[in-house]
Amino acid sequence: MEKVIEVKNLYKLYRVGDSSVRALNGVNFEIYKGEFCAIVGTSGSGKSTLLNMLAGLEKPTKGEVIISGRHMEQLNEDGLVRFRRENVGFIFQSFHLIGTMNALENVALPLSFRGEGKASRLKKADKMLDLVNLKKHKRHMPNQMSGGQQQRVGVARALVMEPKIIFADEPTGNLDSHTSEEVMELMQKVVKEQKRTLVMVTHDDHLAAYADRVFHIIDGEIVKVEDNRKKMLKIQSGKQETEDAKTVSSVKKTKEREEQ
Amino acid sequence: MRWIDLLRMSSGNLRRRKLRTFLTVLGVVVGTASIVVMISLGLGMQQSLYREIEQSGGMTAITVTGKDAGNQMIYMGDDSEGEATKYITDEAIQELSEVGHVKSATPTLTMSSIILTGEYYGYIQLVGLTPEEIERQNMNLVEGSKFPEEGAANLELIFGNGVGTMFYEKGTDRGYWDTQQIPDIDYMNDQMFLILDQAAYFDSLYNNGAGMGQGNGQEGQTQQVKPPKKYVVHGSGLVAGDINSYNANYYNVYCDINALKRMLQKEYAGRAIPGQPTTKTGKPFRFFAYSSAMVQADDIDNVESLAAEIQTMGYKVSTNAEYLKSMQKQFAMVQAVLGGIGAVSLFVAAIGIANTMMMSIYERTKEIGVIKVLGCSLKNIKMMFLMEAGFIGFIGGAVGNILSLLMSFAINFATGNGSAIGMDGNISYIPLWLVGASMLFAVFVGMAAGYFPALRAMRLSPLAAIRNG
Repeated sequence: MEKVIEVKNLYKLYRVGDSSVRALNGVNFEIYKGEFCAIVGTSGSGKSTLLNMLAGLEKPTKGEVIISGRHMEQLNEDGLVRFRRENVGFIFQSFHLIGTMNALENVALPLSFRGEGKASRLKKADKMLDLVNLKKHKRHMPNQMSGGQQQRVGVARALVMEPKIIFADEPTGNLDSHTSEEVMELMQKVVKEQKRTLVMVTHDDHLAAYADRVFHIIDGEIVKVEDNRKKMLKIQSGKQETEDAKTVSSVKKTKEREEQ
Repeated sequence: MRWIDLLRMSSGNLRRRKLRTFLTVLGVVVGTASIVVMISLGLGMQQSLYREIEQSGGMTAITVTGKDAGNQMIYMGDDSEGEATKYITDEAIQELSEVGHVKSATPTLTMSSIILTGEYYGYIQLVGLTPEEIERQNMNLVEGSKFPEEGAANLELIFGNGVGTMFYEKGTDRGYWDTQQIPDIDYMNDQMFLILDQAAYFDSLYNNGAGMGQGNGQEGQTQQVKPPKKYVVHGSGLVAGDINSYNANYYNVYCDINALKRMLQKEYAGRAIPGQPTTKTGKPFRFFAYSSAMVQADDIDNVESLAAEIQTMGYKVSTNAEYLKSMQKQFAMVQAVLGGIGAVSLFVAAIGIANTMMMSIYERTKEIGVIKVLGCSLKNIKMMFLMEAGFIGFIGGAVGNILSLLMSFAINFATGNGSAIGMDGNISYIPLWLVGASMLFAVFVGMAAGYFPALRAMRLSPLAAIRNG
């Protein structure tokens, strides 16, 4: 399996007054292509910091973040923006659609940053909105849509760039539970169909269950990695254990550290 | 990002905040309009100067004067040093035209004369020029005017539009300045008589030569009783414009110098022609002296050296270039002062732009963060805000220019195209380059004012977008 994200020994220290707070305290993990991973933790656990660092929005204090072979900690801001433009899609908690643009234009927006022509990017955006079941709302402005619809536009906007990785920061944080389920199902389905890698941050264990793997983070350290696929596989056939040997080993490592 | 997309986003952002954009643009409009109108006033003055110079021979002209000949009512202001030692004669003209870099040399004879017509008499400045020189004056003549024909039986005259103010009623001696009534003279058709010897005319009129014949009284004293000869003349042309529109030809009456000279020499054969230099005993010289000569240099760069050369030959010179140079210095100063006053208001507008841009960046912190996360490059973000500021400048500049054109039109209309303040031509003149330059300047000011806000937008942390709220 191809490694898309590799995090080695990642530290992030914040200075608060005279003391320093360790938001991340030596994090190691790998994420493979086509995986849907969830990072779960309570607020203040460092999960958002981790996501910011993966997306290159914050610099780590120490350690390495390697995304599809590129060291993120070595890029300057221009390089990071370019990297995001080429490789990364982003889904926000509060949707962050541009209020003056309709759904279609919002989805097409990231393509314009790449210099794509208007006709071709609107065509792609149109296709993406079909994919997220928003056929009827293409010309609606964000304030004319419900939260769930807005977030689906957000999903389409992340997907339209055909990114290697999609980051989602509490994508259902502003939605009611029913809508949350819908959006999660949509994300799960789309990611599987399009074979994208999705990294989601959430504090909700229930939503994390949609992910293939779940990283539990407490006080800046990954304490547990669940593999939902393995459970499912076990349930289904109880045989195919060979597939994720590496994952198992990494889980073991983490567990060993936990015991120490 | 493509230019068209950047443009679309910038203009979209401006459209989103209509009132604020309008107010900011209004500042630029006022600033641009004040600069343009102020400069247009300076340009109007400059243009009327240029036209005046064009009419007096253009930039390459050198006015050469010799010893006094002819007589003039108006002192021809020239600040050339040294006394002239020679008269401007036909030989002198010939000599001048053979000097290097001289394109042409033509004589001018200016005489103060009297014209009698109907119940009026008028003091006029008769200016004899060669036919080419008359054409070069670029006079704006009324319809039906002709230049003096060569070989015409009588002297043909072209009247300036202000000549009417020089006429007085016979008997009452009241003229335009007393009555505020323009003498009823049809210059083109009325019968007219020209008297070249002013002194003699009055001597004969009052039978008293002692008091009047001072400057050129030789003639008057010898022929006290006999009235001077009247010549039948007729007007062939009239400069367009009423008594209120001043121009360079306002007071003058032009005629063909050759015809004038022929007439004088024929009529005064053997006697001293009025205004001509005489020997101490009152006898005329053998030559005919002109009052000045107009020398055209072949190139504007040679004017100065040529003027110096002619001066060493024993003549007095004055050039339009000298005059223009000193005037240009003055105009540059006037324009700088006027433009500076306008620039202050544009500067205030620039502060307004900077303020507006700052506000809009604070408001859009989150949005800027989002597009940064989505991969909009730093350069594009900067461009987007610069263009927004530039747009404000552009719209302000365009509207400001339209406003200036209207104001310029209003000013010119109100002052009767400049004649109300004794200027030839419009007071306010907006050439195309001023429109273009002021637009560019407005855009530049907008962008300069937007530069630091744009840098700030560029440097905003994308993390602002991630924070919830």
